[in-house]
Amino acid sequence: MSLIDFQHVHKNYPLGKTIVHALQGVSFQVQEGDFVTISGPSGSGKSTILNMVGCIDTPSAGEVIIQDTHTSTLSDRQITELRHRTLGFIFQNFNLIPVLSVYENIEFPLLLGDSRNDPFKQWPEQEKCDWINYLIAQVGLEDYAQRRPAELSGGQRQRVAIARALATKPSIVLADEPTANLDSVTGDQIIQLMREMNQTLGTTFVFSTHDPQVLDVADHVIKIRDGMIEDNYRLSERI
Amino acid sequence: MTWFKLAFRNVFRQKKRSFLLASAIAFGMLSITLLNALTGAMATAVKTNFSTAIGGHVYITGEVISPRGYSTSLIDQTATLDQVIRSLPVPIMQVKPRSNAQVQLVNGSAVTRTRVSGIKLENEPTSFTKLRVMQGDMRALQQPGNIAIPLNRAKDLNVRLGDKVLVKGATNTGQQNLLEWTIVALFADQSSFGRSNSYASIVTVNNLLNIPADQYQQVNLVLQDLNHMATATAELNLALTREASIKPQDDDGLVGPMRRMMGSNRTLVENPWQGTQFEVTNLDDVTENVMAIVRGLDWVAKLIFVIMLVITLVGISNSYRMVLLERVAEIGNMRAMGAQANNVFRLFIYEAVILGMIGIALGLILALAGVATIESLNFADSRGPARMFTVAGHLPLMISMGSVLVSSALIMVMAMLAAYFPARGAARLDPAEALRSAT
Repeated sequence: MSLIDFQHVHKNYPLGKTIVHALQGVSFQVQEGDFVTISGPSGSGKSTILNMVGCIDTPSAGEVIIQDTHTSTLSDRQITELRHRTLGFIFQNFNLIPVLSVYENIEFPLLLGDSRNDPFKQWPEQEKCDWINYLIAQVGLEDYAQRRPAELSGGQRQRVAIARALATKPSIVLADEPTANLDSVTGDQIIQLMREMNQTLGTTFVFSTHDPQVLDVADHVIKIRDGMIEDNYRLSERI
Repeated sequence: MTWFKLAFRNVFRQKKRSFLLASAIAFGMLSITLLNALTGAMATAVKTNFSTAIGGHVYITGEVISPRGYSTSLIDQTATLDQVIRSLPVPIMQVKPRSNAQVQLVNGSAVTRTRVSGIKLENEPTSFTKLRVMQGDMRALQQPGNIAIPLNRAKDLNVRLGDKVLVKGATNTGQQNLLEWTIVALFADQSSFGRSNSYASIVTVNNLLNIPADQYQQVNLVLQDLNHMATATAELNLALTREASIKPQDDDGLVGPMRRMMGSNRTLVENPWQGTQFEVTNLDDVTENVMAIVRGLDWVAKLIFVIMLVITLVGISNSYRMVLLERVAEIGNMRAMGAQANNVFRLFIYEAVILGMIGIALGLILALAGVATIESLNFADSRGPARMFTVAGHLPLMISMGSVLVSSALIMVMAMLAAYFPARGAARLDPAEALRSAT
């Protein structure tokens, strides 16, 4: 049974008077615990696929199934709840909240959602605190917990973003070109950190990149070009 | 960490912008609080000054018909009136029987006009406590033939304490009368109109008016609570209609005490009546015209406040539209992480509430400082009708808790309304679009 099932997904955008075919019948499956990379040149449709998996965009045709849930059948409220409980996000611009400290940024996803049926609101305060401190330690920012994003380097900010994405213990973490705004050394460290989290916590990571060198660390590689899958393989199968 | 705390930090994200918005709200709060305090002070001063000038809150006057068929100002059914007053259901502090006369005081070739209030000193022991007696003793008025006059009148007449003056006036039936009275006290003219009454005992004035010593022209009631004024007036009207007779409404526009001040106290009667015909009026009737002006000013103040509110509302709304544009990526990020649309909506509304609270607090502090400054100004030396709005030279400003609460609630609603549409726009942002716009 697949964690993510993409079935003949199309996505068309209107651009002025023309229609851009961003995805043209893309199908693939992702297994639980995989470290998946979606690679391809700029404009190939990587971010569109991640947006579909992240349920922040809807397909023009086809079906996106997350944990056996057909996302096209869900209301906006249910989709938001699905995102909250099942998915974590890492962006190339980090997108941290500037007025919150490192600790508070990581805690922030736990505050979201409805109070009535929100599992994170039921967490005992001490357990929540221990979990956030554990994540801070895992990304190596123990000494920066009370700092604000403006006081951190790009690499440190992306570490905070990784910890934040894991705060709700999601099944899937999506990272849209997480190393694009970092130098190569820091970028490698971030990929390494995500891999460690994937192995330590068992969380499925799906990230996009146009850096061919990153492909070596992935379990599963999906290559995309002009909105279509060019190659789709598990590294173990190639070896 | 709560949404309110996040909103609080967001307010201080752009300190200058938030300061300007809070200042606009504070200015609105300051203006309306000061204007309310000012119109309230004017109303209080007008009522206090009229109450002091006339000597009470509820006024009962009476008219009887003279042998020649003219109505004259007199209450001869004093026993009936005493009984009616005693049975009133509201607490009364003082009952002041009075007779008044417009007279000329003459000393050699010097002449001055004054209104002499004839009072029963034993009935109103506190009436002169606020009077600044410069020379003599007001208690000497208990002796017949004595008078207390304002110091400026004494200067006009070139008389001193203990001097005698000729008093020229008319009796209650219109005959000329000339008496000699002794000046036993001189006091500072503190009236807002610059024309304080002179005082004598009721027996002295009755002697001039040629009416019996135990009768009088009017009774002023000082109530314990001004809110009982309407009840007392209505009850008196009812009781006097039952026990005696009440003067029918006429259309001269003057209420009892004012008519007598204007000197129109004798008219030929076409339909005569028996005994005393009573008329009951109160402070509200006397001050009606001035209070209409004060109320008009109050409405103008409220209109200015509403216009300012609308301008501020537009300003805040535009600022929040800018905030929304600045935070598109952040909102998209929050929505992607699982924030429901109502979370985002509430965040913006909370920010407006915090901004409103800061503005209101700032405005209130400035208003308190403004009130303290204005209260410290002394207008005692100023002349003219503006003095009517001061009490003992000061504007009696008071910030009413009720009006502060209403203004604060209005401002808060306005701030939330200003943020409502930008907040709704933020809540409706498509996360994919928002995140795309950020990259």
